[in-house]
Amino acid sequence: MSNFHDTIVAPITGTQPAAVASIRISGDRAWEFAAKVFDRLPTDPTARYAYYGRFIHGDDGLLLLFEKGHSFTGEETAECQIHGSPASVRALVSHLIGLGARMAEPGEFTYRAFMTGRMDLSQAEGVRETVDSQTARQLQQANMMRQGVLREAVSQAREALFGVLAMVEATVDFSEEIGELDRDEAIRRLPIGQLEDLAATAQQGLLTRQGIAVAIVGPPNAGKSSLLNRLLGADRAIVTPVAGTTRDTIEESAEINGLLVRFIDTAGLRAATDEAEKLGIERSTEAALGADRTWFVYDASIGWGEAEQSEWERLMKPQTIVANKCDLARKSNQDHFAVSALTGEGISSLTNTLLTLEQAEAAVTINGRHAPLVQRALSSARAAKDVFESPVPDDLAAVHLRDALHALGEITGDTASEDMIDRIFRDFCIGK
Amino acid sequence: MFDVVVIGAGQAGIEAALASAKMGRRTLCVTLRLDRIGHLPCNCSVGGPAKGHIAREVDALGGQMGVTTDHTLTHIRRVGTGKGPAVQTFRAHVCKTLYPAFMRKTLEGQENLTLIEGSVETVLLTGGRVSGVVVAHRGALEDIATRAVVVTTGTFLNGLCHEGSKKTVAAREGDVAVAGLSAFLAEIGVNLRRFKTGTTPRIKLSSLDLGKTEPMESEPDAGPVSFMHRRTFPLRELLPCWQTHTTALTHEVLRENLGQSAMFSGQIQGVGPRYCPSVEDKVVRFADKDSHPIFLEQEEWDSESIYVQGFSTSMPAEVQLEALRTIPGMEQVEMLRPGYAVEYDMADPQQLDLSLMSKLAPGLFLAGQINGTSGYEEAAGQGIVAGMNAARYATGDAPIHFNRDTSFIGVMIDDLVTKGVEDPYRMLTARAEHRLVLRHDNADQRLTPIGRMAGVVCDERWARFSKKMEELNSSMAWLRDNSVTASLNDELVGRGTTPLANRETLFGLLRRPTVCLEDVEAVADAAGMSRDGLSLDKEVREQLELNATYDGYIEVQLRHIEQNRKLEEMRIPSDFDWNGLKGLSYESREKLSRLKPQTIGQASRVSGVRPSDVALLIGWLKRKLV
Repeated sequence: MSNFHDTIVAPITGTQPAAVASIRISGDRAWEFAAKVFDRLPTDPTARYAYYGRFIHGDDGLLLLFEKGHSFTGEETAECQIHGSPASVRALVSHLIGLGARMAEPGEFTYRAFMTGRMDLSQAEGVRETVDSQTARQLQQANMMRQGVLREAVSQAREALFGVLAMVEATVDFSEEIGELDRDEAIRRLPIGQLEDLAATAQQGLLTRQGIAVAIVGPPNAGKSSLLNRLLGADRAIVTPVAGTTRDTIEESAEINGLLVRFIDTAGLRAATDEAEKLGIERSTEAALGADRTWFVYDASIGWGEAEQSEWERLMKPQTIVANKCDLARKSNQDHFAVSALTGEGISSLTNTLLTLEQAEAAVTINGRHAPLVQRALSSARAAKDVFESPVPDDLAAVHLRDALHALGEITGDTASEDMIDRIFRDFCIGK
Repeated sequence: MFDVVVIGAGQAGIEAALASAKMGRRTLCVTLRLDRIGHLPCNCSVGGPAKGHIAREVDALGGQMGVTTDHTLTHIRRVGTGKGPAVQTFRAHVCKTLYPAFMRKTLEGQENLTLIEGSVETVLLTGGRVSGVVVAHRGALEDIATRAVVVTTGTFLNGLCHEGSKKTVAAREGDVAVAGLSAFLAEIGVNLRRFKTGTTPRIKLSSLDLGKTEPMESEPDAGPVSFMHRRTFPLRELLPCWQTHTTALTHEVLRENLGQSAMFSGQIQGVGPRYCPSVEDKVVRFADKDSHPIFLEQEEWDSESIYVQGFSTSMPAEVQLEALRTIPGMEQVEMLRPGYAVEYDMADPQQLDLSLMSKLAPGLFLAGQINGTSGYEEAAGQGIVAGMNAARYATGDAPIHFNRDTSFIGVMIDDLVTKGVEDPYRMLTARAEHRLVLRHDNADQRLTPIGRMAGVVCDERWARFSKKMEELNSSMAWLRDNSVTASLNDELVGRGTTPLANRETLFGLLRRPTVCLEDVEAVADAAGMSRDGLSLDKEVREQLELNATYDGYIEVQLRHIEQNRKLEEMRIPSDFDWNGLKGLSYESREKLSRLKPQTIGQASRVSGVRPSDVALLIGWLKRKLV
């Protein structure tokens, strides 16, 4: 008997139209349903063999069967590859639902893989990160998570905490036999440094996962939008020679050397005359202040004037100064990045500034779910240290040590909780 | 026809029989010897770390152990002070003759309770359920009908005493062993194993040179044990006890004679208690230590018999004497009775559910040493739970389960039935992960309402409890509702604490590590506040101080309990198909399907069950697919 009495179906490939779409059927009746919607399946079919034939709704394509224990979900599975038209996908899915299959919920295929023991919770979390990864760096992080690199780092800290807890617990009952707790030794064994290192990767993890935000500011007509277009390789922002064209902020993402970079193109900074532009400029200022980096772009063919100087000072924030239109300029300031949005000159040395800081060695980083847990573990470990350094009795340290262990356990899945399972599967999309 | 038959009248049997009878069930208690009711075959001590907590919990539920202790004690002191609020409790010595006599009188005076001298030969089942017992009584066998049976036979099942190579079939000094019940248990499929425990020699007070020992005086205000009492009722002025220690010479004598120890010569097959090892065991296991503490405890008001705590042994008598005489103060010691070890049958507690009822025969409850525990308190704790649940079972009421986050008793029962035992189970403070809220001082708040609901708590106890709660609540309100400002900084600084910058409640002041309730009172007086609402009761005041001083820690612990409770409350259907959950590892599936845990929390504590298995179970229960 299976605990899952129903068979589920969903397209597992992205938006149609596309050349091909794949529809997965998983559950005890997957092969039975597949046989009913496909005309060329022998009565004794072979698993992992691609059959070509016609589907019930008229489209033709391939059918692949996977037996129990040898599929993504661990269940009996069939995958139909048809033409990637929305109509074809809809028709086949509704036929299958008519037969008794149920539309899969978001993340349900992965959930079933978890329930059949094909993967554990942290691997499931890795799968989600893999599926969601947009850049090489994100993929690298997701791969490390699936391979258990983070788990290893967290487990080491947990082991250390367990060791200290065991020292405390032993002396609570048996100090007569084994002597009093060696508090200095207990403090020495607390993994505070390790937890601090792990907590410090949160920023890096955030950068990898959410990307780095770069605000492009500067006087009107300095060529900010042209620069953005060059960075993106597409005509995204409206570029006209009239000053103040970009009325609002425009956000675009690009992968630059594996890092997700979100460029925020802003309205030109100048004393605006109309209300809409004033609003635009306010937003530019806000965007610049909120971004991880700010590029102050000016027109090198005109030069660095008083207006540039005052704008640059007004933002009161470290900025990289970009001298655009260097192809038209006669001379350039050595401290400025000379680029040409038009010819592409200097662009890569400019984008490389984003990486000199961020391209730390490829260490595992923690994600948004982990960060508060690592923080809690860290502050509890510090609180335990405070107990050991004060006249407070040993036993009270145990409260904090358990708290730290609990928090770390939620990262690795060693403290399984309903909440954790919810969080991991919540953000999946249909078909995953 | 009885509702409940209790077999045995040791610490477990007494509490089981009294609880059932107080709940109005017709109860029969069968014991081999009426003169050995509540007998204390090992040391005459109640309490100690974690054990004291259980004794208080039994009392809070309406049990007898604490009341009897308060009336028969010869010595009492605090233990665990300075180790943290969760560890603090009492340790009392009781008079070896008075304590059982008091227990017998109590049982005899209990309504709904019949007490007979006899031996239960077997339990009768009808349709797999308990329907009666066969009692050998006054030379005849008699069938007695009952709905439920509580087995509290201690070390009596196939008991075998060892003293060196001398073996005696006996449950303990002076008592015959029984075999009939073991046969019944084995027949219904109970896994019986051999456990071992031991006791120390008894020595003569007048043969000791107490000047060479360290006297430990009683602390009369460490009591009372019972929430029913304002004080203890010792017969005379409390006695001290004396501390001494083994020497290198003692260890040498023991080591030389290891071959003659029943324990080490292979005579004993039973598994001994890891946390209460025999002295020869200690010498071997802690070979690098050249001394172990020894406590000398007087057994009775009017006898010379001294219990040598820390010197449990199964060596031949002459070796025991030789070793004892190497201990400071005992150079001329006379031994009244040698120590010995006893082997007995225990029944695997993993075959019980959380109400202590056997999964093999509805209506059959097991409590005490037969479940693989050691210690009077552990026995009493199980006894009262088994008695309550047997009584409820007899009338078709749902069982009462005790949780890990509300009592040490709950921790113990969960450990026993979920993890099982490898060696005699002794309660330890560290076994309770939420011990900061399972304190000695608040046992009544945790358990008296449960005892009342079950019908074990009498009106007098309930009235006392209600009054204490009122005082506690009004005192808390007084502390929380009144506040002081910087205008009282002189008073604060004068009392050795830091001045205030902002307004602070009195509770906030009391939270400061160096501030006690008297300081707060003085500050309130200086501010001209009324003290209306603040209790003068010692117990209440102690609790206020603990609650305030450790408020931050208690908060963290309560948060954990809240998180865990979710898992404890996720019930696994009793007909759950373990083999259908494909993701479970083979080992987990095998263990879980055998043990049939009742909640996810319980499943998570089964040894060998991996966190990923638990996650899977949660996932399955959350999904609730039809």
